[in-house]
Amino acid sequence: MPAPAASARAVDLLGPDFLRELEVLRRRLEIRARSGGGGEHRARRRGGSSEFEEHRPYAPGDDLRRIDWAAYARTGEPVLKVFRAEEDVLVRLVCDASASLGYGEPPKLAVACRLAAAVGYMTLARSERAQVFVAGVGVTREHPPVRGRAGLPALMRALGAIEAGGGTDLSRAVDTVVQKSARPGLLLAVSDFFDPGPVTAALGRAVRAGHDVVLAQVVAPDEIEPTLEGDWALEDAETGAVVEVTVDAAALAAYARRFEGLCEELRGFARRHRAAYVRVRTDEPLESAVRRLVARSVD
Amino acid sequence: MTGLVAVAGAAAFELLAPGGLAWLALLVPLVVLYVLKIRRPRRTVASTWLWATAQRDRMARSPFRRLIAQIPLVVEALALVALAVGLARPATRGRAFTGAHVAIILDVSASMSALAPGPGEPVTRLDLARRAAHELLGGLAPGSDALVLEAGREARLLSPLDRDRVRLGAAVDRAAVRDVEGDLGQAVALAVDRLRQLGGARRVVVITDGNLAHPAALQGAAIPVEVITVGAPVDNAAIVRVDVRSGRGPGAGAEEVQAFLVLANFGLRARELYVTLREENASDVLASRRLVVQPGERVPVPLQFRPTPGDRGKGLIFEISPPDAMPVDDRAYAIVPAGDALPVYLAGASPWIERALAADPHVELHPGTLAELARPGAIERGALVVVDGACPEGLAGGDRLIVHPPAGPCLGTRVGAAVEHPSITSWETSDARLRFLTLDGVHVARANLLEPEGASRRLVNASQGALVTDVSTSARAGTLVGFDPGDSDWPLQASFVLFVRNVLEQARVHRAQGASGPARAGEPMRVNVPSSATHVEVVDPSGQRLEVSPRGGLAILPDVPHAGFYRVSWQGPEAGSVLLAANLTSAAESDLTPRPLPLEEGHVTAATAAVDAHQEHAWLLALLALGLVVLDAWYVTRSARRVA
Repeated sequence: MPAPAASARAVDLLGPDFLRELEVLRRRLEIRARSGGGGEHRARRRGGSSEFEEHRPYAPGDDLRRIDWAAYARTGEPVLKVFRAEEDVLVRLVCDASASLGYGEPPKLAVACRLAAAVGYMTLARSERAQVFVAGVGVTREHPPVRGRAGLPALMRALGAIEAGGGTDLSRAVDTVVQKSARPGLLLAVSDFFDPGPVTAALGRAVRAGHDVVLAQVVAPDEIEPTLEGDWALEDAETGAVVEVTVDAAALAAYARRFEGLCEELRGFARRHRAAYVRVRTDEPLESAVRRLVARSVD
Repeated sequence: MTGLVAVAGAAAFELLAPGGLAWLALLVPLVVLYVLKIRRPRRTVASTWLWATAQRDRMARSPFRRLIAQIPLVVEALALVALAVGLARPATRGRAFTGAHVAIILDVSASMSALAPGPGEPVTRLDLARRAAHELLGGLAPGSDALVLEAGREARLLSPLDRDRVRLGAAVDRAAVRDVEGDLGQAVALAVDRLRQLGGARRVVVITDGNLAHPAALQGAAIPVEVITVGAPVDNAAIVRVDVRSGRGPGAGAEEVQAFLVLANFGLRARELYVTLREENASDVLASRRLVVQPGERVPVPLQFRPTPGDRGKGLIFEISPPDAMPVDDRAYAIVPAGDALPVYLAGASPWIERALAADPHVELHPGTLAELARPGAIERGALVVVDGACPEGLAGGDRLIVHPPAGPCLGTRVGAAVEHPSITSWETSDARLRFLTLDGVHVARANLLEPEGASRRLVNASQGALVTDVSTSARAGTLVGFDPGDSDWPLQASFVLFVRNVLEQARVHRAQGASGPARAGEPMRVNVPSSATHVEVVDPSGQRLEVSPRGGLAILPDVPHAGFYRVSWQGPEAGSVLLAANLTSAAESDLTPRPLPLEEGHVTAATAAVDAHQEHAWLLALLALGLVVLDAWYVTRSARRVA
């Protein structure tokens, strides 16, 4: 059960009903990367832990302490008891805090932070470690990793303190996170991915470094289907650049082609690297998005 | 009631209100609206990166932007152009002329060959008339039929009543200008005759330049006549009369060819003209004059040159320069006349007659026997033949004087029995041969009474009958005297000498006229050929050959469509050829200044009729403009609906 103080902050951000659901969902959260060290998470490699895996014949050089003497007594053959190793998992929450996340009603950043908080809650509830990285033009802030429910207040504070502003260089931020990761883990990138930079290339490098990448794209409804009409001077929230557009059928078609191309690029990346990709609308219930994320779906 | 409607000539397509085109100036502000940057509301978006491909124009410091061929701009510009042209009231001519039966008469008189003034390739008035006729045909209502006539001196049917526009158009294209003085009356009468028996709407449309030689001919038709005038007024100078004869110079008395021309200036400005005379197929100028002709003035121009014997019968070309809009009247044609000396061939003539003939210094006497004169080629063409005591039928030559023929038929007169002392009672004083003389006091001892038959007529009458008759035929003149002058006291009187001189002068005139008298294009040409001629061929100025059947020493060329030289040749024992000249010489055709049409009272004037005859297309353009505006509105709203 969560500690009372930590729970209060989490309730502020996530709500009591959602927290109850997260308690259920955390058991289904699958993380395909291990960050090393003993932990509650079952490792892929076999090793020393309390969870029995199998017997195997003894081979010279094996640790004599692991011989199952009882089995030897029954069969006369020396066999070794093999246990599955349990490793610690570090979940890195890379939250885009560029100015573009301040767009929408509610702002995309709020939804992004709630999503990161949900994943962080599930992680800490499993006694794993979580660390928050604030991305802008690179990593603008790196919070220390926290473990267990005791780290929940710090995590919530870190996420609650994020404010939108500045430009975006998500690829640089991902590369920075990967470079700073001594061991791989789950890397949750929460952003709108409105970044013309080589984001998927950086994410690919993260996958090759052993990270389990999960992409959460937060978009506003009118970014999927713009409601603009007529002549507009559109100002970029991050760069301040102005683009004069006459919104007609042709312009809308061109916009839709580019937006769908971006989504398809992220979707293709997820399929190629067995990553998860969830597109989160700011007007949809967050529970639904978290369920898809836990199920590692590709939207 | 007969109606005569005049339609002023104009272009096939014209703008009745050209000022409407000023609305095209609105294109400028329209384009400016598209070039000027509009003030766009500003809106912050998460990223403009997604809008990069949709952007139309980047923000720039300049208030203008690049002009892009946008569909609304194109549609709105087209609508504006359609509206402006529609306000200019475009109209075509001829659509108003529709009817069940239409007769189209094309004026092909000489004036239709005048070049229309204006820029571009020169076109004749007939070209404009053809265009108008084609427009008329194009405007015929379905089921209507039309006939096409060309009106020169005579009317000619180019196409009978036909519904096939292609055949009718080809008939219109076949119309060709003739160098003749036109007469529209015959064509109108023919058209009315063709349409008279037909039911339904009937119209006669005359397409002319309005320079009519016989304007009254258009009036009085039983079917309404509509007149379309083509061509604009243009200055013109012309040779309106030409006469050539042989004469003698006042000083040396040498024989010379004297030509008299009349030049007329029908323009509004004085013209300096050069008149030159040369022989056909020769470049040497025989005579020339320079003169200034005032507007409306007619100037006589005498030209002379001394001919050589070989020049007789050759063609002469008179030409005025510089040329003007109507070339056909800038030239005139004539033939070098025979010499002043008249050859006279005598057979058995009495000394009285021979003496009287010899009294004329310009007579060449050729006495001989009848047998000698009867030989082919013995008698020169145009010579006077005098025969005494016989009545030969087939002698060649020109005029004939038969004296005291034997009893029996003679050249259309029956020579009767001899009577004693016939008393002269009257004579034909109006005849050229009996001019300036009196036969009072002439006593004839014995004479054969003459009984004219057929075309012969009496010249001198006695109490018992005719003593002298005119035995002229259409080909040659002849005089028959029924008594021997030696049997009377006539040779002793002055009237006898005058009679012989009159006969000589008449023969001289006929010889000077050659085979044919002065010929005008458009009129039948009468050609004197030997009576033995069997086959006559005519080559016209364009080189076309025509066969003519001679009859009684006369060949008639029924159609002389062009001015110029006509070479007539004949076959037979006395085969030969002669050159003849035909001229337009029509002041009515050469006068290209505007003349009022004989419009009948109570009918449409020319100006009003021109408007009525137009078919306006402004409504079509207005409809097009409206359609474009609707299309523009649909395009704009279509975009908005898709966004919604």
